[in-house]
Amino acid sequence: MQRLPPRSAGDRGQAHALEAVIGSLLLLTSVLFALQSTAVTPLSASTSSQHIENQQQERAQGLLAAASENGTLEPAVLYYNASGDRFHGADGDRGEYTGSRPNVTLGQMLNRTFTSGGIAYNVDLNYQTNNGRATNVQRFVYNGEPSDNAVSASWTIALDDSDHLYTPQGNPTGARIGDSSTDFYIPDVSPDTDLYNIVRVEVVVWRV
Amino acid sequence: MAGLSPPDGPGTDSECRSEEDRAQVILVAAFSLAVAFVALSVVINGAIFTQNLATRGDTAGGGDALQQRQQAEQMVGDMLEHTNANYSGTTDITGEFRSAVSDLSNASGFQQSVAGRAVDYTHLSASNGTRVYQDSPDNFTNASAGDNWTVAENVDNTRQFDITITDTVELEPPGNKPFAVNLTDTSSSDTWLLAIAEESGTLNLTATYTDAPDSFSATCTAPEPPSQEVGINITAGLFAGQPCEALRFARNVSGGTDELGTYDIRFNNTENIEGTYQLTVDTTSVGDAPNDEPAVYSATVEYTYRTANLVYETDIRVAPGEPDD
Repeated sequence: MQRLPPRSAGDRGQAHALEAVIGSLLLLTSVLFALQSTAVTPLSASTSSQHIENQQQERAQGLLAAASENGTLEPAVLYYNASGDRFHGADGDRGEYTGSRPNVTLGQMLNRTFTSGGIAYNVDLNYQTNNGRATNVQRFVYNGEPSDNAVSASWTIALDDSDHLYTPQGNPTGARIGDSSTDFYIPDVSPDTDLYNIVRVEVVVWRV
Repeated sequence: MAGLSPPDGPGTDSECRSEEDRAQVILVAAFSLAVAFVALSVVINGAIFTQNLATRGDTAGGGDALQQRQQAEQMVGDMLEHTNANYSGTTDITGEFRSAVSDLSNASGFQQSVAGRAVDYTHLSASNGTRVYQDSPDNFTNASAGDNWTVAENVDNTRQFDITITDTVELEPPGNKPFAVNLTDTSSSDTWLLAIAEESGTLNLTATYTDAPDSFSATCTAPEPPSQEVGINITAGLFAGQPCEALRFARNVSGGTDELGTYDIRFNNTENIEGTYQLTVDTTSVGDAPNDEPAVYSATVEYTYRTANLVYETDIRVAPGEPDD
């Protein structure tokens, strides 16, 4: 290498400092890039926790299948206080359960499956309105806004005009939902037939 | 540090050269570190993606189609029960059920399309049957107060056979002619017998089958409840709300969905029980029952499930409350 003529000390210090700054920037950006591409906290949504989400979704789906099989899904949808415009004992602003819990088997199943494992859940009831041309959502249990890694599972049930509302103790009342005198949050989408409505029960679960 | 000693100070030529070259070395080191980090993140991402792939199901949307099928089966089963309950007196109960299925298919179409799939149910066939019941608590005698009587003849299948005992005091000990449900094979005369008895505060449910070498006798017990009320769900195999291993309806007797042949159902010693019962059989030839009404026994619907990359089509047989349901 050809020896360059000596320069003043002040010039070379600046050049070296610049090199050092560029070097450190490179280092930092590469570290940042590496961190961005991996899971940072257990709560951040990322592909690395996919299997946990899959398991939670299967659990929620299995719970709904079990509830449907033992006939406890429909009583939960019909566990409604018509005169109070809310579910029996519900404390939420929109007639849903926020702090309190529904006194139905589905509520116990949800608590036993998720609450003990540190998993939060919401239950939404999607039903049809406007003679089946639109849908609306009634919250059943609301525990807060789901996080980014929330998963959902759903189950569809059919309501008939001759289904009854349930009392707070969980027994059928005399009020048929198909009767015009019964005040129910779900409308009859098929007034000419015995079919009342199709309800999709959706459970959203996420880790907290 | 690089360049701290003045170039015109004491020192040799070679020392000066190495001090000037060190900045380049640092730069090169920084670059190689950056490359190493990038390579590392690629490797980690690869591992994560592998794990991600490994946890996915093998068929795209296959599970969904099967879940929808299960939901369809339950919804159509609900419709069947509602039709039976609401239209038992009408002549065209099958026609009512057919229109109920069509309503269900139309109404659920919109909700399914929101989820990006088309699901359709078409009524294919329905088989007629009879619901035999007694809904006010009494002895299980027939309409003419007969003690031992035939409930139904030439039965292939039975569903929703429930007995609710309202007064367990009426039950007799096992040796003293307890009430029994008697299933007799119409061709071989083999019998499956379910005896309901009570002895010193314990309820016994004994299923017996007599035809060597397949004979068996098994018993379930439950404490007599203070309310003296107990429910037996015979086709579901539940005794006082608990699963009962002995209670496998029509075990070894011909009949049932997967076996051929038929059986007659008889009630024996009906004065030794008090309560209510109901059962639905797939025959219209019933005995002198206190109450019976025509009912749709089972139905077959065609189920079609379509998404962008999956088409699934199958016939679903619906008979809510059958022993293998």
